[in-house]
Amino acid sequence: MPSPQDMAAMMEKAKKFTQPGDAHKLLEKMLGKWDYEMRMFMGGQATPPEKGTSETTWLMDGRWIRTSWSGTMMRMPTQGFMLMGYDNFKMSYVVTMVSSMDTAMNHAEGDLTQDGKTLIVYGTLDEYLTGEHDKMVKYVWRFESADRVVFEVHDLPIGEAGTKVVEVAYTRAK
Amino acid sequence: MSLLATWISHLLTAAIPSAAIAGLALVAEPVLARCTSPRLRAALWWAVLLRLALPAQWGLLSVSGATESAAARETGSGGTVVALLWLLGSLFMMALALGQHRALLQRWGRADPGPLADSLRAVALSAARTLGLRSSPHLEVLPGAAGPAVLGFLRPRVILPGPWLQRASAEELRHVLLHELTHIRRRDPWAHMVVLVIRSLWWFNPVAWIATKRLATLRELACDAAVARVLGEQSPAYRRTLLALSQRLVMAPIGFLGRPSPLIERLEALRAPRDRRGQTWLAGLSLVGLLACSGGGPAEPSPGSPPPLPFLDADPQGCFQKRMLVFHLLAEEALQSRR
Repeated sequence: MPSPQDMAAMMEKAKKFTQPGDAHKLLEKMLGKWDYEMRMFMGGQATPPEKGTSETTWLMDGRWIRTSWSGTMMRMPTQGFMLMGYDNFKMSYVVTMVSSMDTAMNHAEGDLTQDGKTLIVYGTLDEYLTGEHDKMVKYVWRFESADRVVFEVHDLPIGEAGTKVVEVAYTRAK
Repeated sequence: MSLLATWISHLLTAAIPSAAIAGLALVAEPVLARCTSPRLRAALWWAVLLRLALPAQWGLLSVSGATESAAARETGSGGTVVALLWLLGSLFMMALALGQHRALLQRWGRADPGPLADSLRAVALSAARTLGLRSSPHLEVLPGAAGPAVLGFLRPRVILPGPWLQRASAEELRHVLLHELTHIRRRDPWAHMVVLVIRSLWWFNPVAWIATKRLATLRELACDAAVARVLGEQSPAYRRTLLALSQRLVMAPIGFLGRPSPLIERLEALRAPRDRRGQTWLAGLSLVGLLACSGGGPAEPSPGSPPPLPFLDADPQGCFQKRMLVFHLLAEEALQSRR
């Protein structure tokens, strides 16, 4: 049986790690309805933009946000969902994404830059086309203003440069 | 896709819609000849050249970007040979045009270094003022010139054959100068340069040659029509001047830049008054139709068709780029099966 002191320490930890904190305030920036334009990149060239809409709401107030998006990719209708929160114990933002483009559930974790304007998370994905597993992916959210967020996907195995493969520019819907 | 591959695929795929447009113009022009001006008919042929020059996926009679990309992919390893052939052909055509121009100037000889006769200057100035030109462009009397002509782009000059000038009446001289100065007022030297460049780039496409020839003829007809308008009731005299010119000179009256002009068509156009009824709407309709086919703007991709990928022959790196290509091809396949 833990001692009263141990119990007190554990209770303090429970309060610290289980309740939303300052880091969760970032999630508020993503709340709302958005219009987006998505481009894909290869060899320095981009596809024509494809449009869509997304909406972010609280899944659990103050802890988890839920983003749903729908639009087109290659003119084919697509949709997806994302959950995001902040894990106080990992001290990282945690993200989980699913979409109608495949049957995988992708996870990523990361943190804000020091200036607080960019969220960078890293994850892995399994590539069914080549049979490879756990390929490194970087996801970046740049908070350019209260009404504009740019989301990037970077395929890190490409190399030192030219890793950006997807860019989605979100503009708050009027 | 590299820039060269894109260019070659455009050259290949533009041929089909341009041929269709040219066919329409060839059919429409004789019908329109009775009731429209040469200037409007020339616009039809400019639409043909525009169709050649614009991206293949623009306009109603368009080729989809996917087809153009497919053409570029299929060009494959032979693409370099095709590109080289095209380049050599274009350079040859431009060199040929330049060489022909120089040969013409050599054949026509040098201008008499002495000052022009006051009477000639006076007629030229009067003609220039009639046409609204601020001054009379430079005149040159060349002993070997086969006929009156305009030479030069930056500073166009009117060429008059020496032997003809000695025998021409004042009225004939005025008519000829009105015609040649009209070429200058219309900026025909620049238009001709653009046409020559397009024809040099599309040297392999008969449509470019047909359009060039028709535009040259219509240019002459347009100047004849302008002179006839200026002369008003005296326009039959202009027709007689053209006839006299053809009888005195070695060949038919020289058209623009030393090319023989179709005399019969010119004389017929001056003889038969146009039935102007319905001119504007008919010509406008034809022109709008052809311009729409040529390209009034990029056509909206058809619903469901994947957007053209600019890099279909690029080497995909990483998972996402491979997926992009695969999704694109799957989307194309889905579209094909729907059709």
